Amino acid sequence: MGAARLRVALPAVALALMLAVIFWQQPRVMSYFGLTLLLNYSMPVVFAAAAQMCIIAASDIDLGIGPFLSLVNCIAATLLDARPAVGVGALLLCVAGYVVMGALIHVRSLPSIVVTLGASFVWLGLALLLLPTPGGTVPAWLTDASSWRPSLVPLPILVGIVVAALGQFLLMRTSYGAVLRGVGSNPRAIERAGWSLLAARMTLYGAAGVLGVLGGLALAGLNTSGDATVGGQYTLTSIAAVIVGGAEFFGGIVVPVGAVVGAWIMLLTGSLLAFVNVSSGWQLSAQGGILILVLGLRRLARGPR
Amino acid sequence: MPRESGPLIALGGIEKRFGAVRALAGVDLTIDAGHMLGIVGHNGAGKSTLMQILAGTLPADSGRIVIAGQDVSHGYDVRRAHALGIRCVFQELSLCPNLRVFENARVNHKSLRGPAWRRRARRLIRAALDDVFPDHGIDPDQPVESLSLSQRQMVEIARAFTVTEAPVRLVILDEPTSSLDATAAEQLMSYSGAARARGVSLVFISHRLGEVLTHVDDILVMRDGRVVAGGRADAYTEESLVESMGVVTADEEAPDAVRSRTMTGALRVEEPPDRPGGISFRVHAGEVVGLAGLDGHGQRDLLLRVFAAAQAWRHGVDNRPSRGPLGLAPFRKGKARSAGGTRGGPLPPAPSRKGRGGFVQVQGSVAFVSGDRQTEGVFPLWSVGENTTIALIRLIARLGFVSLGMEAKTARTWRDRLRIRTPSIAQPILGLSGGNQQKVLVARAFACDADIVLLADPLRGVDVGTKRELYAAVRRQTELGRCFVWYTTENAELVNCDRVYVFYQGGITDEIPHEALTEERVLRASFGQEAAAAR
Repeated sequence: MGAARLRVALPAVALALMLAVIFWQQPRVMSYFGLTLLLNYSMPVVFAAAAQMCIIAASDIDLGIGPFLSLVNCIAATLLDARPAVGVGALLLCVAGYVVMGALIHVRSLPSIVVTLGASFVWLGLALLLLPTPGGTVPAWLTDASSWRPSLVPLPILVGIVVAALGQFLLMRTSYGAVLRGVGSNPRAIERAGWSLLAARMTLYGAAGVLGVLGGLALAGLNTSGDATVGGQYTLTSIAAVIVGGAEFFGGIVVPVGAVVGAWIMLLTGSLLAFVNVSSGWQLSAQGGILILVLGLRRLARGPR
Repeated sequence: MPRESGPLIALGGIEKRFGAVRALAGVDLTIDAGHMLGIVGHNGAGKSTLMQILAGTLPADSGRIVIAGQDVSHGYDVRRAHALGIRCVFQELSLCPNLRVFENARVNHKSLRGPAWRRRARRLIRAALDDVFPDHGIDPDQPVESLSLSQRQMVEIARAFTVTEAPVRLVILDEPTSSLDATAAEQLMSYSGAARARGVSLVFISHRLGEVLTHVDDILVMRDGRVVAGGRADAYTEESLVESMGVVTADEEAPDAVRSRTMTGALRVEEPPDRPGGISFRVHAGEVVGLAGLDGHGQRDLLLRVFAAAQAWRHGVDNRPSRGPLGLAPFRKGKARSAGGTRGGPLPPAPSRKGRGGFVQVQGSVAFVSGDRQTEGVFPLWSVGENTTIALIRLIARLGFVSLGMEAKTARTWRDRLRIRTPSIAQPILGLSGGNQQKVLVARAFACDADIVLLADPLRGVDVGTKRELYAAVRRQTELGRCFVWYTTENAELVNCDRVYVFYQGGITDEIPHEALTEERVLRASFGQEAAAAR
């Protein structure tokens, strides 16, 4: 149990430090409005990270989650507004697409890295078909939802807490969640015990698809327009978020709370740099640097094997 | 438990092929309720395949399966087997290291769900562990990756005896004692008696013939996919079993031509005396030193430290005595490695000891053969030949390019010397049986020019015939000047050693020369001599 706590402790401390620096530089951020503004764009990242976490739980990786978010974004900016029924159908098809991807990876024993990379081009192509140039109209209910102001807690924080809590409960505390995580570490054992690996992968990929759709919708609501290329950055950010949050690439070791914390860390890098007057051109480098730093510290804490 | 009339399990004419390999060629088997059946045979005889078919994880190509009077030959799978009360503990561990012990218990029981499943799972596995292995010291909340190999095996065995909805009728134990320490193995054997009294049947597959004969009721001998002998266990002795397995003793091969470069590896290990017993021994060229004692009492750590020291020696690293984060022994600068030419000569004088540091002094190159081949030994995507020659890749390369001809020739030579059973060296290594894979790892260590070979229990789960072949191979290598540090959990293997050091809690409790070696002395030292005396 100690090891699991330690996994979340490190990123949590990093997050607290980053927030502390931000608040120190700009005390006005420490308000409802300030936090909302600061963390608004964390919502798509949180959903993308949660989706990535489901895939990483199976010891796979998803290189297409970013373009998938763009695709959902474009669907929201075109079909969902003009023809809602078709739009919803399209979103359901997107989730089904993820389920089929999971099934394909299992049935043909294909490496997920290759299949999801190929899928990323499929998502991008479909998005471009819908919206060759940025634009479109996002339905009002979606933009309203994205700018909803709950009374106590800023929306992005609420979303993060809900995603973390649900993830923690579903993956770490339910009986089937244990089986799902087992798929990532010893699939043969799970199969020998009579569970269907196909069903397990389809469940995990389906969950990732649903979370990806939510992320794309959040992105649409925040941007109030569609863009086929806007989601590209989310792929690597989501991977970094999950890993910084305490997960491992292999072995079915995931930390749902950590994925959300990692998403916030990744997002706040940009803000942190702005507040300490470093040009945002360094943002990507800073994100990479944080990833390396956290992994290095984690390795030190664990000691040599 | 109501007694079924007739045998509990009856298998008839079971056949199974894997491509061109005929794993089972018509096997008949009966198991009565409340009986323990021992199955013996050398590697590749088909024992594990047969048990996988019985447990439902592999479908048979043809044959009849009758369980408790029901013919289940069609559509027989793991779930059906589980519902009929068949449990299996495989040779390769079936635990998920990232999950906790009670979560692993859940994996095997679909009925452990709904609210409060965690409490029920914890209770279930704790009760089973207490039943089979009293004083086990395992917390159901521990993640399995924090458990030692022996503890993981204990969890897996205990899990096989857990009951939720379907009763347990038969438990198949495939090499259970090879990963257990002596106490746990004893506990398992005595628990098997209690289980049988309840009407539970057991299948016990093992290479430890003495153990098998002592505890089982009936015995079955397999060879090359067939049953070659069977009957009541008291009708057999170890020798008659080995005979019926058809193991041919190999003729002694001529030793290798004496090489122009004499190998004179030497090794000295000193640990501070404030640890119980401390560790202090030397190994010279041509010696076989054995490390004995219960599993997990520091033997493997020592081998790893020696290996690390050898790495440092090889790179000519200059290290001053210091204590690393885990109190690792510091290294000593030895002679820098020179290309070609002779190494050798006496070990440099011991460094003056400052503070609490101990040290490991190595002179010579070191090869490490692990018993944990899945994590430390085998390259799973490579062929047998590639796995054999990887350690000597520099020696078969010219101008940085590997000579494929030499690679193949070397691999074939060692395949023949160690009698590795494989149709060709291009065979993917995972297609070999476990024991033959282990042989490949040993071949790798012998084939590369190491002066010192560290063996970390490499012959676990390997059949008697193979073991004998490997003992002879070790003996031949010592004549060429190689020395061996051999950690084994099987006390019977220690007869191959010139000297045995018994470990207890990280320190050496006894040094036993070959002439004075008795199982009793080893066992006593394994539990710490202080423990033997009444406190």
